[in-house]
Amino acid sequence: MASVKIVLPGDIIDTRREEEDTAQQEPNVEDEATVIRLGPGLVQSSESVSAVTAGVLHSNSETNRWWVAGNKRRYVAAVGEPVVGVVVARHGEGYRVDIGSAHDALLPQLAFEGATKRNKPNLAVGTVVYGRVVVANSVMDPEIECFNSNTGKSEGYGELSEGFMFKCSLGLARRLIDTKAPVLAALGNGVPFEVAVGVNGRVWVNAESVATTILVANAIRNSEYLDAKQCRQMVKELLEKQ
Amino acid sequence: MSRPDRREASQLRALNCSLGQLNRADGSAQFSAGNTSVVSGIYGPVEAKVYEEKLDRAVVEVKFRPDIGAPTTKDKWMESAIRNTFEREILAHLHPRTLVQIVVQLREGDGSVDSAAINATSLALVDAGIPLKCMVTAATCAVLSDDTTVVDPTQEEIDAARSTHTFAFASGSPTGPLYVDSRGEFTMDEYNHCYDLCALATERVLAFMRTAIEGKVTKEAKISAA
Amino acid sequence: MGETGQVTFAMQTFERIHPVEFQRRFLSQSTRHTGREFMQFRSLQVIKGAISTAQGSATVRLGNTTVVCGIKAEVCEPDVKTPSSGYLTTNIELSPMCSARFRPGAPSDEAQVASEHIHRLSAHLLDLTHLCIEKGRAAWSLSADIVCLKHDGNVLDAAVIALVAALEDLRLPRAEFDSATGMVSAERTMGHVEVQRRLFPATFTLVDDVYVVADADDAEEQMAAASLLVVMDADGKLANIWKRGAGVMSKENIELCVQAAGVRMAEIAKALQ
Repeated sequence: MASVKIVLPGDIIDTRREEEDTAQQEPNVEDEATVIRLGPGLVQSSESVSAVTAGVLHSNSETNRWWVAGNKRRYVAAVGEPVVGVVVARHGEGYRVDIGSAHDALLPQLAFEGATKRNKPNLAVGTVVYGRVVVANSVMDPEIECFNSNTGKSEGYGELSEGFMFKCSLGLARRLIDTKAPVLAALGNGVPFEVAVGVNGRVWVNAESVATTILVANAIRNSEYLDAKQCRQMVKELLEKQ
Repeated sequence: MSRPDRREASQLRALNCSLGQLNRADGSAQFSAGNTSVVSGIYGPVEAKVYEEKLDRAVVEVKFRPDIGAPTTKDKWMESAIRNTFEREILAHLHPRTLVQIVVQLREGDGSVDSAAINATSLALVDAGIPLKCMVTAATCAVLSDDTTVVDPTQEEIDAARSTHTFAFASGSPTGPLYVDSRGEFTMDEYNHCYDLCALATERVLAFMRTAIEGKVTKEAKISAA
Repeated sequence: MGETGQVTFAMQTFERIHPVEFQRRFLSQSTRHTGREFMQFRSLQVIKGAISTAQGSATVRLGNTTVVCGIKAEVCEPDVKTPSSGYLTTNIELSPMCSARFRPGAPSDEAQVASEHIHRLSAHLLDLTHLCIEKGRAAWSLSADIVCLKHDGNVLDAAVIALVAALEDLRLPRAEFDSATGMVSAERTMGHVEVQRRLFPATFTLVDDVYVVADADDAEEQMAAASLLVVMDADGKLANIWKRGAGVMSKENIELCVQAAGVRMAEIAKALQ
């Protein structure tokens, strides 16, 4: 593993490191390549770039993007991210959905596959839904939708009936989003189950029996601090006990 | 010149901390120096109540709970000290209309409680991933009746001290202190001496915090890289 | 709107619609909206013995800020831990009477914090053993109530000065403890309680992150990034340096403030006479 640079809030980031080679070849060039793009955890303060959260500093030398990857428990909505939420209220035009962020998200009634003014889903308070964030900024309440508004297809989003939803850290949720996540792969080899991962730290699982659902949920929660090998071992032990 | 616990005058007590102990809070940290131990929990950014929400920034609320009994005005004073210290270090404009709640619980107070509370809160805010301008660290000094100055005094030393001095500094900007509380009977020279000692001590506290946070981040990063 | 594209309106209107910019215009010219210099305090007026029903009282006016301190004395049993000491309790009241910022009901956080700070400062004002009437049986309990009548900034300075003045004004009757009946009888002759450590406060405020001004008024306090309270005693020793708010005040700035507090001490001492 390459050396990992860990930053703390207030640390000044030296963004010139990657840039130097190009700068030497073509001085005074302010083209796209020298524009630095800052991602989560970094802000520009006057002339320098400093970290505002703790985590591992990442950079992509091609796009010149920089960001800090850290773990959190509280979700802050960002556009395009898949989230699992619970319907907490319904009103004229749609639903209010708790997605774990500071404010409840809006889910319009027509933001479902095939929904029309006459034919729209009827969700009760307490329903778990899988959606995608479409509006997220600091001054407005977030908005989610349960279909892809370009294609009109659900693409896996929508109401999650039956099953079981639990919370985990945002870091774990981000790892689970990857289909190659060791714990999911190991579980998939042993038992059939469905899973919907929201990057807001909420995971929904469903399996044939309640016992299996609980087993899957426990295995995922246990995997927080386990590496791939330990995950496989842990899942194996759980499956044996069943 | 010897201290009851045989420390050097400029020696801190054994520091200890753990991050993320509270599993219901969005971030938490326990910080202790010797017997003084403080737990800080962060909730946020969460929805602010309508009457307190600010349209351009997050509201920072601090609750300080004493080890014994119900909170008194003493604890209100402490809350205001912590809030004033962190209010501008938290990048509140990034999360308008929300609330960042800081709950500080004193577990055991054996002197230098205010600096322990500030240090614990600093760690907890980092654990919660709340955007911060920089790290805040604090240290306390006491000038004893025999004119010796000791760092990180115990309650016994504070009770016998002529004056006590607490300073909080922001990492990376040594231009001035964020928070000062010097009380008792002292001269400007003593104040300056304590200032320098505390500035040094906060550097050591910061190094300690950095190690603790790096430990936690590495642990998580290793797994996601594997 | 004029041809140059500038808007003109009365000064009061400007102050109302953009108070921050209004203040900045003055500060950037090294002056303040009241015409004071940065390190100039407002005029101080102390009237001792304003309330005849209290054992000691004082009214302090610091510019437009007015506070009244009244001290009530009662006889009570000393604490078992300190059998030969009396009590001095302090409280500050910031009611809606003094500023529209305060609501009726439970004391605001600001009032509680100010009360607690004054309480901490008052620890060495008196030698509490002078308040003892009979060891372990009877002692004076002094409760100093500080009421703010007009809040135009820097209430803490005014409150500390009022407390010191009221304590100097305090007259207690000579009291005798009758061990046979367990009663305390008071004579007609009154006596002073010596103020052991007179305190002289001075507050400096960092306004708009740049300017350090002494004795800020309410408008200036509204844009304060930090405030520094310096309290000195009559010997010129420091009793308290308290910085609140995260605005950066450099070490040198704080030292300058302490020097200015030393100068201010003489002014307060004169007003207390």
